[in-house]
Amino acid sequence: MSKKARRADVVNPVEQRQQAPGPRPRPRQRRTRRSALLQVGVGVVAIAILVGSFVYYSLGHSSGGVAIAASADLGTMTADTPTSPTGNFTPVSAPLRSGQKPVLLFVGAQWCPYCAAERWSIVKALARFGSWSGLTIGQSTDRKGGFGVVPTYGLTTATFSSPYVAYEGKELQDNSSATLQSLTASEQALVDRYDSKGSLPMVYVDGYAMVGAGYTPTGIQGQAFSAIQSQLQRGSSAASIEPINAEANLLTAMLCKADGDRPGTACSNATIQAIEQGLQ
Amino acid sequence: MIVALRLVYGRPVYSVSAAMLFVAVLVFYLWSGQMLLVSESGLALLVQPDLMVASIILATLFAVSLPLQVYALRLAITGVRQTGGTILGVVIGGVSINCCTPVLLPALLSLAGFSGTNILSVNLTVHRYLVPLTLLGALLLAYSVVSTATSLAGTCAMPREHEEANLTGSGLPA
Repeated sequence: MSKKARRADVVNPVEQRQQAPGPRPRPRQRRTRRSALLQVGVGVVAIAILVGSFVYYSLGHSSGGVAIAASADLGTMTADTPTSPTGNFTPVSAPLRSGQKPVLLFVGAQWCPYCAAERWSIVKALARFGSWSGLTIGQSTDRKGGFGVVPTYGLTTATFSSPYVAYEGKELQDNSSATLQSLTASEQALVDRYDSKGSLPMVYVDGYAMVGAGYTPTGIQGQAFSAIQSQLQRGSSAASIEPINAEANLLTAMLCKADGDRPGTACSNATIQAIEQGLQ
Repeated sequence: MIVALRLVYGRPVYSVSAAMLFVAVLVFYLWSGQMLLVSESGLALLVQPDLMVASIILATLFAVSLPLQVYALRLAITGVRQTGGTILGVVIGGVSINCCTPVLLPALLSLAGFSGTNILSVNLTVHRYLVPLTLLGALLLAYSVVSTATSLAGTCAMPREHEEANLTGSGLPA
């Protein structure tokens, strides 16, 4: 065999690779491609879940349930007094009036446990100045702020009428954090001025502002609404009930001071007069 | 990715740092979300299961992510995406933890000059979107971990083509 023929028979591996048709992807390339597809797939799923959750929570879902009417009867006045002259309120200069009537403004949220606590005192205090209608049974959302469910009044659809004082209440979110009500311009001005951290609740009583509640809901969490109401009606001196009465008496004294001690049935009470003296 | 994690956390300094980071971030989340209260009578822990779980997940991801970032930074192979993901993830996670009884976020916004109404609006929005924000924070941190670990693994692995070329050049007869 000639040298030329022998050379022709010899296979040059480099030439062979260059001339051969495109090779199949090597196992490493196939693995890389699968890995990339997997990453893209996981990314798409993650983004879909994320977007879906934002959409779900932005739609808002009503807490549901049928509203159960509640009575404003929370018993007679007790001799409980706050632990300090103004409780957790701070004297402020800006008045809040509806015509000639001093206003009690409450800004809260249905899920908020401290708001749930404060509503008991607000209902009891204002019942001494006028009449409630449309009160319902409500509750805070379990585990918010580290508390269990705190039963309370539902004030969203309630109305209060009195010849002496006025009530303005705003529940900003319901138990599932859906938006309920919004603040007016004057209410926003009060929040801007006295609630710089945007906390809840905020209570304003013509000359006094409080961010937070007058007492912690620890004592009433987990109880039934009827149990708390019954204890208040009986005049119980239980440790969980006294703070409700003390806060109600403080609110009463503040309103009496603002409206010239009217009506006498509430404002001439010795306990209320003593608290009012401490407000001077 | 497993290779990269072994590479980094096989070194005691990174493992110990991760453990300390986990504890520090978890305590920070618990404090800023007011689940951990310091009072005259001592420490009190208000257990909120959903926020507790979110805090643990976010603290774990951050504790895994940051040492990886540091290792990758030393090799100069990390990028804006990975670092930004870590930072954003821990911040967004912290914001979501602050949902219910906020401490840090309102203080920061107040310092920045936001009004009470604006801060209240932010608080309510964060409260409403607790779950999606926590999810977003966790995803950002997880992305940062995977991305950095992949970069580390790619840099430190020997490509098979180079191995074959070396063998062919030195092993086979000419």
